[in-house]
Parts: sequence; C-alpha cells; structure tokens
Amino acid sequence: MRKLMTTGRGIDTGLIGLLLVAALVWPLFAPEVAHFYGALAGIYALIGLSLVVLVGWTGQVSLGHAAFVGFGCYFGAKMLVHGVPLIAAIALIGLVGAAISLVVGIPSLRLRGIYLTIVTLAFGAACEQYFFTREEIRGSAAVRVPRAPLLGLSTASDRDLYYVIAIVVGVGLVLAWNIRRSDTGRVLFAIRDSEQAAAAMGIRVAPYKIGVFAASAALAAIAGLFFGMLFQATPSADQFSVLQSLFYLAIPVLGGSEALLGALVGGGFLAVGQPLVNLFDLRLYLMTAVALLLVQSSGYDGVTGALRAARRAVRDAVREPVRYGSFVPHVEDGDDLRRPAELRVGASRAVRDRARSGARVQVRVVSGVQPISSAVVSGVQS
Amino acid sequence: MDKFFGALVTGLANGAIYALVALGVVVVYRVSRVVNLAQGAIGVFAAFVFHYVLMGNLGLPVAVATVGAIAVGAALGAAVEVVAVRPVRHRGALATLTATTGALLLLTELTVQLWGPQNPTIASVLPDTFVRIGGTGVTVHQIGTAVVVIVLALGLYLLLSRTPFGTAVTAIAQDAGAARIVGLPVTQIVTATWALGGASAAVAGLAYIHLNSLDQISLTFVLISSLVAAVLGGFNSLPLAGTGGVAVGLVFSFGQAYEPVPGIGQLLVFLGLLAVLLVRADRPQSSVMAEF
Repeated sequence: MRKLMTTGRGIDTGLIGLLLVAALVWPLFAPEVAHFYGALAGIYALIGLSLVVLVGWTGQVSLGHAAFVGFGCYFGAKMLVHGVPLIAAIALIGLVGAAISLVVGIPSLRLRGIYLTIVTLAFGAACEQYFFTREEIRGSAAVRVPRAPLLGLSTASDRDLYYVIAIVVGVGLVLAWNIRRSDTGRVLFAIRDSEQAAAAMGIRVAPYKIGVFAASAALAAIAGLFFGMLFQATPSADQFSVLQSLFYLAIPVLGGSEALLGALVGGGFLAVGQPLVNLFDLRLYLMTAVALLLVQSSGYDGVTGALRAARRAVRDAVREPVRYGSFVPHVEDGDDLRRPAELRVGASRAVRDRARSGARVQVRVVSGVQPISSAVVSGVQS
Repeated sequence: MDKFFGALVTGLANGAIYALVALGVVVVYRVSRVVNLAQGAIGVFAAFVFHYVLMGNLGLPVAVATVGAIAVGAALGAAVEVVAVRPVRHRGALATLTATTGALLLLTELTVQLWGPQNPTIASVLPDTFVRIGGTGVTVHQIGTAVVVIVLALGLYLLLSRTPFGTAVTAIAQDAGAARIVGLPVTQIVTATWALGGASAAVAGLAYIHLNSLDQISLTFVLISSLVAAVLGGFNSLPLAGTGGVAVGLVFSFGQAYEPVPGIGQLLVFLGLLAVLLVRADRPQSSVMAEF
C-alpha cells in the first residue's frame, strides 16, 4: 500500500476506477432530464479530448473547432437520414473532419508560430457566415436527425445515447492514452517543448503537427455527429460560431490540458454549467470566461493539474526523505524490477542491471537538489 | 460604375478601421510578444460604454464622450495586460494566448449581459452629411474615419520611430532583459503600450459601429480581418499591417458588392489568408513569431 502511495499509482488507479463506476451507474438513479445533460457532457468531453490532444500535445491552439463540430453535425445528419449505419457514419465523419482540417492545417502548420490560431479563426468565421448558411450544407431548414443504433445498441432514449457516447469517449481516451505512451507521443511532447530542438534531432515537425490537428478535427466532427443526434435536429449556424469555439477552448483550460481526463472534467463542467447558470439568469459564456481567467491565473493546469499537485504533495508526505547526493539508489533488493522506480546519480549499476534484465527503466537525473532531466532508458548495453 | 465607387469607398473606410486594429495588435505584439485577441472586444466595449453610459446615462456632449470612450479603451487595454496576461507571462505563449482569449470572451459576454444583444446606432463626432465625389455619395464620417486613421497611423509610426518612448519600445521588443538592465521601466512601458493598443481599438470601435451598426460579436470579425492584416505584415511591420488592413477591407466590400451572398467576405478573407500562408516560406524574418 505504501508503495502504491509513493508512486501515486494507487491514487490514479483508484480515481480512474471510481470515475468509471460513477460514469456507468449514475444514470440509473438520476431523473430523465439529467440524462440529456449527461449525453451533452459526453459530447463536450469528446470535443475536449480533441482539444486536449491538440493543445496539450502540440501546444497549438485552434479557435475554429466549432466549425469542425458543425461539419460533423450537418454531414452526419445527411448520412444518418440516408440510412448509413452509425458505426460507418462515425468512421466516415472522422475522415471528413480530418480531410477538411488539412485545408486549414497544411498551410498554417508548415510555419512555426501562432498561424494556426489565426487561420482557424478565419476558418471559423467563413464557416459560420458562408458555408453553414449554404443550402447544400445545412439544408433550407433543420433536418430531423434519426437516432440510429450503434451495432444493435439502441440510442432511442437520452440514457441509451449517453451510454453509446460514453463508449465512444472511452475508446477515444484509450486510443489517445496509447498514442501518448508510444514513440509518437514522445515525439509530440518533444515538438511541444521546443520545435527547434525536435527539428535538430531529425524529427520532421510539420507532418506530426498536421497529423495531430487532423486527428483532433476528426474527433470534433464525430462529436458533431452526436450533437445532431442528441438534439434530433440540425441546429442553426450560430451553434457552431466562433464564439462557440472560444467556449470550447475553455474545456482543456478548465479541466487541464496535460491530462486526458481534463477533457472529462472540463466537458462535465460546461454541460452541468448550463442548467446551473440558468438558475441565476446569467450567461454561460460569461461565467465560463470568468472561470477560464481564474483558472489561468491560479497557476495550475486546470482541475487535473491541481489534483496532480495534490497527489505530489501526498506522495512527498508519505515517502521517506530524499537523500540528495548520497548516491543511494532507490532500488532495494527484492524490488519488482519491472516497476519504474526513482534512482539517484551514481546508481548507474542498478540501471544497467535492470536494463539488461529487459526492463524499461525510468531514470531521473538529479544534480544537486534539482532534477535536471528525465529520460527513459531501455536495453542499455555496457 | 456606381457599384464600383460604392464598394471602393466602403472598402477604404472599413479597411482603415481594420488597419487601425491591426496596428494596435502589431504594436502590442512587438513589445510583449503576445497576440492580443481581445483587441476587437475592447473596441466594442468602449463603444457601448460611449453609447449607453457616457451619452445615455450621463448625457455628455459627443466630443467629451468620445474622449471618455478612448480613455475607457486605454484603461481596458492596460487592464487586460495587468489582470489577464501578466500573471501567466512566465508560463509561455500558450498561456498568454489563452488569457487574451478569455479576456475576449469575458468582454464580449459582459457587453451582452449588461446591454443585451442589440445593434445600437451610435452617435459620432463627425457628421453624416453626404458629399458627392466622382459620382458616388460619401459621408463626411467615412472620409473623416479614413483621415483620422491615417493621422493616427502616422502618429503611431512617428511615436515609435522618433521619440524616446519609441526607442524604449524597440529596445524592449529586441531584448526585454537588457532593456531592464539599462534602467528602462519595462513593466510600465509594456502596460502603456497595451493602453495605446486599447485606445486605438476604442477609436476603431466607435468608427466601425457608427458605420455598420453591428452587434457585439461583429467586432470579432473585425479582429479576424485585422489579424489577417497583421499576418500580411509578418506581425512586425506597421506599414505592411496598415496596407494589409486596407486590402482586406477592399476584398470584403468588393466581394459583397459583386457577389452578394452572405458571408462571401469572410470566405474571401479566409481563402486570401490561406494563399498568403502558402506562398510564405518559413524564412527567418517571416518566423518572427517562432518564439511562440
């Protein structure tokens, strides 16, 4: 138990397990009106995930994501009306979103800087004012969007739809989590931290950024598909306005853009926020803006960032004091060598032994009292 | 031919306003490396204070109210810097960009919350009398706006290139740390520059809403046009950003005059921006924003 606490892993596992159970169980006890907001929270979480991946992984900001949601909603409605099965529609809409993103992403992401932010702003404005007012895209009036089942899972009631969206969000989270842990994930973090340094290491920066933007747009478009299904109609263009994009950006900021779960927290916050602000006759956007600025100035990376800081505090309180410069490796005889453990400078023999045993060893290099870098060593020879 | 002149006049008048907002964005960017997305919202807020509070509640004369609104704009510009941007500066460009986005959302929503989603017709110091020039009617306000913007742009240019303040701004733009060592009051100069940007946004807001009588959200589109103009100037050159603003204004008005479809202007600006970015190579001088 102490061991679980010292790595923070126990807290993580417990939290995620709790969250999973809570997400599955609450609709059984909640009144029907809550199911609607639950499904909305799921859609916001999907949009949030698309922005966490973009903002948190590449450091790029899109202020036109509502436009991708809009394309997903309008094109998705057309597909569902024509009887395309939901599972195929999800895949196709993802591809459509990714394809549209290339038009925006390729010219702007070749360059370093905030060009993506400006192009997505202009793109959002063009969509809101031009594309979404075209009859070919939205149709002359709202289209009734059928609630097609997902591989036999009904989406007829709001609760059913919630569960289906929860499955999609879950799949998205697992995919993102796996990408994050892969080599691709490490390349992306290298790019986020310094494009120059990444380029100097021989990483071709632009394709990665364009790829992540495409994936992000695909997720947003899929969220749009479910947006139409939830309302059972295609909303007008002002649901996908530039202002809405700014509102969506609040999801990763409030929830935290480093952690994938930030998308869930931020999405839930915005969905629950709507009925809450109605009570006080305030505008949701206004409250969101206030919350956004407060979170920004708090210095934490959203709610998950604050939780991470709390976890670190718990871990530091629980574990034995660190003996810096004492050259005492933190690995003890009988330790499970497949688990990552912290090592001190001078512990190279321990690292070597563990690496030879085929384990991936996480090394944090400590100089004086300051950790100067972290790296993952695997299969070190010599 | 009437259509042509009409589009030309509208384009130049609106383009002058885009140019003014773009200049504010570029000046602020040069000194603090932050793209102030709240620039348009500051203009709208100042214009609404002008209309509802200074003219409406207090009943001030137009000229006094105009000066008051510009002061409000300057105060808002400084406030955005002090309240939203400065606390997160050390966390890098992503944090400052989100902070100005938050300020944009906050100011836009605050105007809606306070004054409702209306499109007021606001007064102006310049009269709306028509003058006929080259077969088309032009209001004194339109000409006046263009003149005011040109004068302001020139003034801004001279301020930044010929005065000690301008030298200080250039020094901070090149190396804030060194400027501090030399003894320049860096923090105050940065805030003053943001106030300058806010004041220019207020002028633009007053002129634009008088010309177009639009709602709170519309100045976000002004901002987008101005950002496109600033991109044309590489976020560094004041003359290029000014020219870019006028060009965007002309594209907008000619698009609307000859292809009257809703949103055609936004579409053309978006496509134009894509074209500019596609021909722009990632040269060192064009990647001034690389520190992002």
